[in-house]
Order: sequence, then structure tokens, then C-alpha cells
Amino acid sequence: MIVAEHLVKQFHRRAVPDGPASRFRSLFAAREAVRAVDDISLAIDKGEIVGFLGPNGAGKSTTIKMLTGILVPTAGRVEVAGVVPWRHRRRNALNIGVVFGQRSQLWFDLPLRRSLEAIRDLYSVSAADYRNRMSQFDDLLDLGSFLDTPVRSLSLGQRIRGDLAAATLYRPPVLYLDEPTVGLDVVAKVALRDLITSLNVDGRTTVMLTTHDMDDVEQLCQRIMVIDGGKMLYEGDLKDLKRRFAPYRDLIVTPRSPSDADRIDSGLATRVSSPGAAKVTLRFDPQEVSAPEVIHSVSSQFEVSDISILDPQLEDVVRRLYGGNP
Amino acid sequence: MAASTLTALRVLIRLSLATELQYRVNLLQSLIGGAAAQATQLLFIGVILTSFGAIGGWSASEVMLLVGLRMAAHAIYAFFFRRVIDNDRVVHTGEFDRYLLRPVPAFLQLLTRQFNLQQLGDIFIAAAVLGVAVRNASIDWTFGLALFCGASVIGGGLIEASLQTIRAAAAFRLANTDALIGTIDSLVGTYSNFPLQIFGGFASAFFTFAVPLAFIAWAPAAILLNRSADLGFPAEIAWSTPAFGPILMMLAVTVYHLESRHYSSPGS
Repeated sequence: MIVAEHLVKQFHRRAVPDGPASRFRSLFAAREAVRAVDDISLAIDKGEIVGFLGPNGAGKSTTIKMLTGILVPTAGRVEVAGVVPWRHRRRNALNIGVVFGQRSQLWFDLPLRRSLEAIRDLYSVSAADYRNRMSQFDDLLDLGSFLDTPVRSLSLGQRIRGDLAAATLYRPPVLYLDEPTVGLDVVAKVALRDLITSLNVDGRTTVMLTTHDMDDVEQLCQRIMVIDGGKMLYEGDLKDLKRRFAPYRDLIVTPRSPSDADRIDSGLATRVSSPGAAKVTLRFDPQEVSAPEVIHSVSSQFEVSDISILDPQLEDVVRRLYGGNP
Repeated sequence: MAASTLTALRVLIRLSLATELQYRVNLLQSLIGGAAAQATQLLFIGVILTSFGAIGGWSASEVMLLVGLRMAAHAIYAFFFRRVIDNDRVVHTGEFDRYLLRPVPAFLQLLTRQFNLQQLGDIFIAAAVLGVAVRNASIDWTFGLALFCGASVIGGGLIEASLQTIRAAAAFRLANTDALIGTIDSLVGTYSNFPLQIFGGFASAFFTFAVPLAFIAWAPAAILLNRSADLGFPAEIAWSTPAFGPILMMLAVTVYHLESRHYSSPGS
């Protein structure tokens, strides 16, 4: 559904020299080339939800903008649903929906309802489909409560829900979501994820999601891509990523007697919690020793009141990946 | 399926009109401002005419016709195409992202980003001036000549629009083109109000073949007043005036769309 091969985007910026009269001298400074995206290739199948991750300035938005047709690539090939986005822009626009968390696609001064009616007419959505989809938006996003409020007066959460409705009203086969949950409260995040899941399950909508929220990724994405410095760092499923960058699991043990806390040690796992903590964390490599073996080893030596196993947090995994620290 | 361009235009005009009506006080101020700016120009020409009586051999009523044609052409540009001057802002704020994501030509979205209701002031003043000028000038009206007059006004508006559109297209590569907007405004506003022969052979050739201001009002006025001998180029070229506007505008829109490929989108 989405194919990019050896994608490059280069911008030219005027260098600002140091020293006296730097502003004046910058007028005559040579322009330098900056590669925001450097040889990225990717392929996303129909019906996939892919997380597109990377630290700030990694080139995520630039890549998304090339896939949506906003930017023309400096080099490389892009095809989305059989269309080259920047070359056949209007045809491409019918196939894609886009939500930028930082920037609204709605008509700022008009009530949300007016924007949605305009989208209905521009994309030739039938009256019956419009009614049904608006009713779904009302159920999932509680849109009805702010439909008649001008977009400029909406809260961030309401505005993003409005943007998501506008981007999906005409049921595009491809949906790009660039930081859609930034600044949203828990309720709004859940509503947004529910709608994305429903569109993906019911309509086989392909979704490319850019986010810094690892809960979004864990709950929505089947596959992730991580970029940094304009280059692809990792591409694969979440389990593989965790296995490669965090090959451990943590056993959390609460001893019945607090005095045992500093003595607990299974011999099969490494103790990582600090001395004096009421709960003890034992880290082990599941490839070398199984969880039941570690649990047995602990519970046969000490009386425990609670025991649980924690998978590595994606947040930590991605931090290691960004830092080049496997 | 995308709506037809005509349906899209109707939808965009509906939205821009609704947006404009949100700010009624601003609308009233702009309406008065637009009319006042046109009236000031008229005052300026009036002073020149009463001081000199005639300009370049053209009588006061003949110059008045030229000014009327210029103002009417400008009103056409201002009412339909004025929003091209917003392209700098649209590019810098990233509003252009939105234009590229919709199944409607980006240029059409730029033109309809705001409804130019305030330019109605320009239209009323221009219509009044042209009406008075046409009555006072000695023209042997025929149906063909009336058609030529109307088409020339539209063509003149398109010439001004094409100059501003090419300027707007520069915004995709240059950081700021504000100074150029003013330059084009003052070039058109100053030189199109006079019979260009008064500026000498070089200037009139420049404003005919390099920056085609001659075809906004001077050439059509010369045809209407039977003064094509003053033009310095064959009358047949002057008769072709109504065609130049549409041709230049098509070229300008093509340039605009080609240049839009250099858009770098803020935040990329």
C-alpha cells in the first residue's frame, strides 16, 4: 500500500557565521545542504498499523510529508495506493487522510460542522454515509457536544478529535497520524485509539502513526520503524525489538517479612533494586533461565506475599535504541 | 470520488464568505478603505488634469477613460485574485500543507482563502468612473467595440493578476517577497493611469513588451478613442488586448504550480 525506495530529502540553508557582524556576513554566506531524510526505504501492507518512531529532528515529519505529497523528494521513489503522491496530488488526496497533532487541517474561523460539511462535499460523500459516520464519530469521539463551536475556540483534545473526524469522513484507505495524541488527556487518547482500531479492523485502513507515546505504539501497532538522523535504525515487530534491545524480564518480589527484603537473591537472576526497598527486583534473561525456575528458587527460600513479572518497558527500549546503546 | 472543480469552487466560496461574515466590523472598515484608496487615485489624476489640461495630447475626458479602464481592470483583479498576495503567509505558516492535502487545485484554494467582499468598494468606484468616462468620451460605439471594451477590462485584470501570481510563485523559494508586492502595485497603479507615450519610446516599449502594462488600459483606450497612432506598435496588436490577459494568467498559474514543488513546509 505504501512503498518508498531510497528516499532522500535535502534542504538548503544559509550558514550563520560566528564573529563580528555575523548577521551582515550571513547575507553573503554560502548555502549548505542539510539531509533531513537520507536513503530511507519502507513498505507497508494494506491493513497494517505501523508505528514510525524517532527522537525530535529524526526526519519523521519530513518522511510523512513526502509520503503525503506535501514535499517532493530530492531523490528516491514513493508510491501510495499505486499513486506517486507529489505528481498526482489530487488523486493521492482521495486515498489519504492526514492528522497533524501540531497543526489543524480545519477551517479555523468556522464551526467544526461547517468544515465537516465542506469535506463531505469536496470528497463527494453521500448524505446517508455522512449521517452514519457522523453518528459513529459522536459515539466514539463525542463530537456532538462541540460541533457548533468555531475551531479556534476548541480545546486541543476537541480540535484533534475534529481533525480525526475530518481525515476519516471519506474513509481513505491510508491514514497518516503525526503525533495525534500529543497533549491529550487519558479519555481523549482512549477515544482516539478506539476509532483508529475500529477503522483498521472494519475497513482494513492502513495506518502510519508517528508518536512519542509508547502506550499508543503498544496498543495499536503491529510493527514499528525507528529512524534517527534521517536513517532507518530499526524495522520489525515489537517483540523482536524488545528481544534485541532489552533481552531481560524483571521479577518483582514482595517478601512477607520486610527484613527479608535485603536478603532475597535467587542465584539465577541479578538483583537490580536498591538496598532498603520494600519490593525486590530480580532481572533475568529468559533465553537462559525460565520465569518458573526463578520463582521457584525465590519462593523455596523465602516467604513471599506478592510476586509479579514485568516485561521491559518500550520507553526504555526505545531510549536505548535512540542512544545507540543496545 | 472528488467533486468537480466547479463544485469545489462553490464549496470554497461558501466557506470563505462564511469566514468573512464572522468579522463584520473589519469587513466594513475594509470596504470603506478599498473605496477610499481608489478615490485617492482619482483625486491625484484630477489634480494633474486640472493643472495641465491634457496629457500626451490626450484630453481630460480621454485620460478619464483610460483611468476608468485601469480602475475597472484593477477591480476585477482585486475582487477575484487579490488573495495571491497572501501566498507568503500561506507558505510561511504551513497553511499550504492543507492545500496540498485536498483534492482541489492549490491555486484555487489560495484565491478563496478569504472572500474579497471588501473589494466591492473598488468595484463601485471603478464602475462609476468608467460609466462617467464612457459618456464623456467621444466614441463611435458599435456592438463589437462594446464587447472589446468589456473583454479588455477582464483581460487587464488578468494581466495584473498574472504579474502578482508570478510574484506569489517566488515565495516558494524566497524567504520574503513583500517588497515585490508593493513594487507591482505601484508600477500598475502609477504607469497604467497615463498614456504611456508621455514616458518616451524606451519606457513605452518596456511597458509594452517587458512588463505588459500597456495592455491594461492604454492600448484598449487608444482603440476605443481611435488613437492607435499614439501606441507606437500596430493597431492589430492593440486589438488583441483581450487575449493577452488569459494567456498570461494561464502561464502564471502553470509557473505557480511548478514552483510549488519547491515548497519546503515549516517544521520539516
